[in-house]
Amino acid sequence: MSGPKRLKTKKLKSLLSPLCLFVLAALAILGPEALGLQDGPQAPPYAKPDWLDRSAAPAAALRADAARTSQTLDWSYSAPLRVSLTGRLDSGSVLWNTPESAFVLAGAGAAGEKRELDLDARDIAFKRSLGVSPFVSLPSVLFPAKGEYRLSLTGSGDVTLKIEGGRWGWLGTDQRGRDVAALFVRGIRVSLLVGIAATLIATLLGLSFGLLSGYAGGLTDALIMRAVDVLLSIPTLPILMVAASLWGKSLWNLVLLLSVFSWMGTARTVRSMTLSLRDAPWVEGLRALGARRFYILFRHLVPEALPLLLANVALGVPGAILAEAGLAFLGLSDPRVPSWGRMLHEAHTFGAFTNGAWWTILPPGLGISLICLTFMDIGRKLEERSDPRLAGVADPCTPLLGASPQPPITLNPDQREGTLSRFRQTHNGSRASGPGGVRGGALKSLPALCLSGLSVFYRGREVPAVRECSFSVSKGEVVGLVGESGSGKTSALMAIPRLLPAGTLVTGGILYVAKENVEKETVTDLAQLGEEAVNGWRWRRIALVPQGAMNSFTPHLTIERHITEVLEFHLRVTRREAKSRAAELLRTVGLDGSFAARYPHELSGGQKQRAALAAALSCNPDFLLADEPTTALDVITQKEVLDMTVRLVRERGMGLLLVTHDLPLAAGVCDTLVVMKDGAVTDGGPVREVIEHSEHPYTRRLVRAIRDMENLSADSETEGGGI
Amino acid sequence: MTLTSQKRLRPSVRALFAFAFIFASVPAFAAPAAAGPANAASFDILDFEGPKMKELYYVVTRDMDAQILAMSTGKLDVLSDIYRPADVERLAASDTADLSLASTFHGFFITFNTRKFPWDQTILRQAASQVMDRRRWTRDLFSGYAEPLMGFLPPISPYLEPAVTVFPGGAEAARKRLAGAGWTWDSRGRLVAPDGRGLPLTKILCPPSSVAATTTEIAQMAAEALASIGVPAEAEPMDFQTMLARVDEQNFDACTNAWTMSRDPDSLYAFYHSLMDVSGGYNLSGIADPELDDALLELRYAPDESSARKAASRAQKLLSELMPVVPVYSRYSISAVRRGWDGVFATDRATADNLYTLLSMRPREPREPREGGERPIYWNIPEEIRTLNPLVSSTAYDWTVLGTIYDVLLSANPYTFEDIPWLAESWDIGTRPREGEGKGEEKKEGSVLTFTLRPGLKWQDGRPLTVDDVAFSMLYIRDRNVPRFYDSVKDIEDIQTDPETRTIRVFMANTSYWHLHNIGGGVLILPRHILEKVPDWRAWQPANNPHEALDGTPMTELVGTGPFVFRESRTGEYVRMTRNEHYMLYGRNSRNMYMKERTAR
Amino acid sequence: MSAFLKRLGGAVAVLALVLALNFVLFRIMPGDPLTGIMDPRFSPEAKRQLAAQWGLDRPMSEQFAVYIREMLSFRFGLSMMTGRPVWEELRSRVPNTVALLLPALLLSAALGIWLGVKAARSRGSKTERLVLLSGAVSFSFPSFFVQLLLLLCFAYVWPLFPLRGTSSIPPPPGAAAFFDYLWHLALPLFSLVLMSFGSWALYIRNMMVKTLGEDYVLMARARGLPRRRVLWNHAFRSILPPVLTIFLLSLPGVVSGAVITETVFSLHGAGRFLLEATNSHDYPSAGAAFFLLALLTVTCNLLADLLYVFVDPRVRRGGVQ
Repeated sequence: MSGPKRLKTKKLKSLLSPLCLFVLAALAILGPEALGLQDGPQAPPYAKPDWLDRSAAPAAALRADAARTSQTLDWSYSAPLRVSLTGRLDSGSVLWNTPESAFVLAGAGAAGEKRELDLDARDIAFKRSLGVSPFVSLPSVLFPAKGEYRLSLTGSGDVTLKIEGGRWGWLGTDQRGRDVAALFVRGIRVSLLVGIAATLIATLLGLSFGLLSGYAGGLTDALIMRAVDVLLSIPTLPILMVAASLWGKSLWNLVLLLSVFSWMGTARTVRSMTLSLRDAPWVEGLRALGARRFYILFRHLVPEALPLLLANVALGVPGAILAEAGLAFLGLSDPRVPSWGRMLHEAHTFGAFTNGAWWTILPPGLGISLICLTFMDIGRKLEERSDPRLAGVADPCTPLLGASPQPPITLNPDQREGTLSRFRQTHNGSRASGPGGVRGGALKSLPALCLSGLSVFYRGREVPAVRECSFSVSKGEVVGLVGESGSGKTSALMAIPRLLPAGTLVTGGILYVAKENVEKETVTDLAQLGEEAVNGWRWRRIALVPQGAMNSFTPHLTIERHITEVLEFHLRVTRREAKSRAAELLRTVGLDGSFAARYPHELSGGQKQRAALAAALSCNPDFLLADEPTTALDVITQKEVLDMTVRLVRERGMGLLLVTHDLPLAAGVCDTLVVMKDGAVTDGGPVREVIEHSEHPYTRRLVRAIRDMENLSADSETEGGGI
Repeated sequence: MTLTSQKRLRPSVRALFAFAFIFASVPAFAAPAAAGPANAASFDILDFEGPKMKELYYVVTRDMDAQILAMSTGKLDVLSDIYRPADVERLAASDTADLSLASTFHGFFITFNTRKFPWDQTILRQAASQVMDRRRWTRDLFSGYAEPLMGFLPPISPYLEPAVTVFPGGAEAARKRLAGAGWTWDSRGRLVAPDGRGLPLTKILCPPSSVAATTTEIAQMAAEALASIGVPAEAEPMDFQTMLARVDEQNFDACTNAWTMSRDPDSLYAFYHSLMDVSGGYNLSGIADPELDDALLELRYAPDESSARKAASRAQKLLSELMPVVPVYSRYSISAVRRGWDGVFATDRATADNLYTLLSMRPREPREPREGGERPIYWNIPEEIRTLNPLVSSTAYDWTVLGTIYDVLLSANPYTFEDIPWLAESWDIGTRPREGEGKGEEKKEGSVLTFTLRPGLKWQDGRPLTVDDVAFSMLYIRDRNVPRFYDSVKDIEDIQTDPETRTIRVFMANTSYWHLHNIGGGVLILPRHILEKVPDWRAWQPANNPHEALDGTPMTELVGTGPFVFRESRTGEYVRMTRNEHYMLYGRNSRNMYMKERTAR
Repeated sequence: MSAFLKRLGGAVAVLALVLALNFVLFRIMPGDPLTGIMDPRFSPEAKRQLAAQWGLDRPMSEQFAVYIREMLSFRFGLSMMTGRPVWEELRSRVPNTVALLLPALLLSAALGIWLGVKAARSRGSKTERLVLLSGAVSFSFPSFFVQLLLLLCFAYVWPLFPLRGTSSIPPPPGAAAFFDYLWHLALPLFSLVLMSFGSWALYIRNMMVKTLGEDYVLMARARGLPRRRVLWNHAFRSILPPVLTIFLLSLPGVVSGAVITETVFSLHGAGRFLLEATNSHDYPSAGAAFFLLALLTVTCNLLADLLYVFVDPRVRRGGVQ
């Protein structure tokens, strides 16, 4: 589907549930009268819906009196559901001729006195008088087949034979002959009312108790939480029964009961939210401004909780509706209130299932699930608005953790050759042909990691984050990738081990050039590899030191486990051997043995950064990618960690690609510098050259910015080692 | 044990079958292939040879749909008390089962609180009875499977008095009678009493639909009917226990209730005598009419059948005038027996699920020897067995099982409800002057019941049944005030037995014809050699305690004289029983055996 | 440990409160075990005899003392409905309920988790939409409606499963009886799983989506670990504590849900026993049933707290509570 068309169906789909809810609400308010449906018994019980069975009989009536002693009827339907004979019989008898036989329906009294007739096909006495077994449905005996029927009166009197058909209305009738459609529409009002009212009250209760216990804390908090425990520990159904018997079964008692037993969940979520917000800086600030507690609670905390609660309400309504249906099914709700649960209860009690009267069963059942689906859909939408990450991804794209994040662009052979030649050209001492005149450093040694014409397109954004950038890192070389934030340096770095979010499009080559033997160089383009293959390169050849190490360790694994896990998996090392190597690695980064058994949350920022470095070095990869490893640290530890990183990289002869926005820092430690701006590589080359001789205006501005800083500190310090 | 109800979901509500007729006492319509005597006159239990089948399972199936499906797929043979019209029509249409229909002792009433205005006005109650459209309700709600009830005893009661005053039906007739008695209607059409008092809103209390699905609707229809003559009324469904409690505290205007009475009319005393207007009593309407009290007292302590019949008629005539409660309908009982069985016995007063069917049931084909094929009988009970302790059990389902284990002295003819011999081959009721002065208003004499046991009776464990067992049973129950039988045995003064002539003479403290049915038909004959060893009869678990028959076969302490012996019970699933070889009607030809026994003596 | 002791104290307090509440609740409910008896054969004096037997005529304080002694000694006395010891009633019913509910809960949780993780992993794909839809539908169908339809289809139209109870009659001998029991529980179990896997799937999907966005998951991928290990050992393992808590807290709630299932499938379980005991004012049985249920709930709450500490190191080592 092309983009815009897909968007249209998406919009339509998102409109479906609110529209459905609107229709239901309208029906609930208008009630069945709006659709011309009446309550109360209308037709024989379990009459089929009109559209279901054309052969079922319609209603009809035959009359025989003194004037016309007989009336015929041509019957071309199946047997009707109800037949009744009423009127006055002075003398003689009433005959009923069917195509197959004849019946004497009623004879005058022996002494010839007048007889008031009120016979119905369901009366056992009437069946017995006709010699029919009491279990047989008399109408099917009186109307055995299609053909001509005649009602005749031998004596005098006035009798009418009323026939009620087997078809009626949109959804047929229930066991009492009431219109199922009318009951269905009326049921909407009750279900919606119970669902929404119960959940609203529950949410209000939950909100207030949650805020109170969260904010007040201490005794009130303990009391409320114990109350929550007590209410949770009593099973709701029996208590609802006991309470229903105490206060009677009216609808509002039910709503009250349902809400009293469902606010605990909301209270808990609101409490945890309040706990976390209570000491938030801006709340502290409000207190400092002298805001009263009441004001803080309702002016600030409630709006904060609203998106959370809206989702809670929408998801709570189905729960309440199902609870009401459950109670009604057990016959415990007010019988005068026609709800869907009640309809299902009566269908089950009066044998609609065995009678096959599915039209009394499906509408309420499907109705309940329709309302629940609508509210859940709305609830999910609200949830997604309050927490965008939950938002469903519109169009299908590659899975987050699934196969390669973007479909590999297969270069045909000459394209491959073209990329290779362009790469060689940039690295044989001549200036790079890339935009802005990059001075590519000579390829110091192999293996080397070279980006050639790499572009990164994030989904949903037209402007590429990285545009045709090419540079290389070779073994033993420390390359600083410098640029303002948003210049695409992190995207470029993350593209190498293919760790960009799902749906990002990466083009161009990520070439890993290695020396097979003396004269032959092998080049593998990581961009073309499948996900499993790239996964093989990660950590074994290319390791990563994350930007802020704050949250980069799995919380429930010890530091040591992070390292041993990788060693065992990649290098097939035994657990004991991995443990000793981990300890040794931690020592090399300056963390003593005790850190091994610690959990990530027990380490400071600096310690985490060091541990991350240790983990990165564990499989002594060829290249280390460091994405602003020291930003979150204070200046002193920043320097320590960076120097240690570079020292260890140089000792092990690894290549280091260091992404930073701090030019002086980079200049101090790197061999080569690559400058990026707005996604493109603007300048590059050995540090000394770039700092002194680069004419690129942007580089000049960056260098001048450092100079001003030095003039400030010039008098207090002797000239630093580096710049 | 409790108020009857249409819905069998709640055992505590299920009506307790009358004791006088130990097995299902609901009569049936024309019997399909009836075994044994076809007509009432020559009905004799000796014509029933059996039980024919070796094994019987009582199967617990709670869900009604599941029962019907099980019946049509051949997993159930006998299904009793089908009350949903949809099920009846479905089973009748399918050719898998034969149905039988019978009138019952069930009666549904709307009771008015005659203790306070406005329902202390008799003419208002009579008018209420006139406007109740019984015929239309039985058609609409039960699609014909219930009969309108006009009298205060069930239509098939042997003591029914036909010649009672019946007020003309319809709202116009009621309005005419009320106007004639000085009642007027205000501008808004509401009725005003002759003394000018307007009528308050009458709330008709009724149980929720989980107890009785149709009752709520009848209460609503009754309210509409009352409104048609200007009596403001509305139905108020409430929890069943709450309703009973409020009625017991006399804090109600009107309420619906239903009784399962018995072949004896003495329950009228319990319903309408002013002495029974106590907490826990059954005179819910609170009617206290001296003349009615006198007739009911005479009925309760009538020395013989003729005086009982006279008193019953007088009581019914008075009641139809006073109309403390409005009778509405009496439910038919319908049961189904799967096709493929011969020997199914039913009458117009007993549906096929009765003891005689159980005795003579045998598979139609293959024509095996009379012993019956291997397939056991699967008899459905809708609720699991609560307890098999005969002294404590309460629900009708317990009694369905216990009814096949224990017997009583007399039983009732399924056609006419007259007494017929069971364990006792003959009986007599008389009166004798008692030495001490009579208690209160009872007469000086006391009734004397004499029963003569059938010869050659044996317990299921092979030991002979003697008159001593009968005396022991009655005295054991009396001395421990076992609540279940308390009313039947509390007036026993002394029992004399004569093993030679196998006779038992029971001397009662007061005279009442009903003692014959209460004692003869109501008291279970329990084995002395087992009951003596029971430490605490309340906690007694006969089904769990092993007991050895005479010939060494292991069985449980559930030893009676009935046709089937209890073998195993898995609560909630089934009860397994096997044929009692020592049963009085079992043997090549029980009639000859009985004759031989008599002559041998 | 002091926190845990405080929670234990809280739990005991809750239990005592529930115990007293049960006693009072049933006494203030209108009616008593005797009001249910409306049979002319059972005269008022007979009712008084019965009341004396059940000890209802004794003063309330004495009844309360007897009630507390019976409950705490777990010897619950005789049930008024059946005259049998309440313990025996429960012993015949609880296994059926547990045999049905525990596997149902485990299966629906397992299915829910597997689907939730699968949906979270393949964001935006067809599988995710399919899982979300099936979860919503399973959550929103009323249970009795589906169960009756299942009974009709799979026990009657295509008689694959039995119609009633927990054992066929007569039960097959020996080992076959066990398979017969499983065969009987299959349909109710299937219906329960069908009804409850939905909420699990939706809940797990939401939690996983949030977790997969975390940095440490990205780093786990960066370390070249296989996809399965990253998904389950790192991502799912980190949301295990809340999942366990929800599982344990939902355990008691499921019992009251069993009432409908046991009615439709004619199962002899504790859910119905609770409903009947309450309806017929059987004080000892209802009291015992409520007490055990409260005990179960409280232990589950305690277990949830204990497990949370054990499973989430951040909590164990005094990190962010």
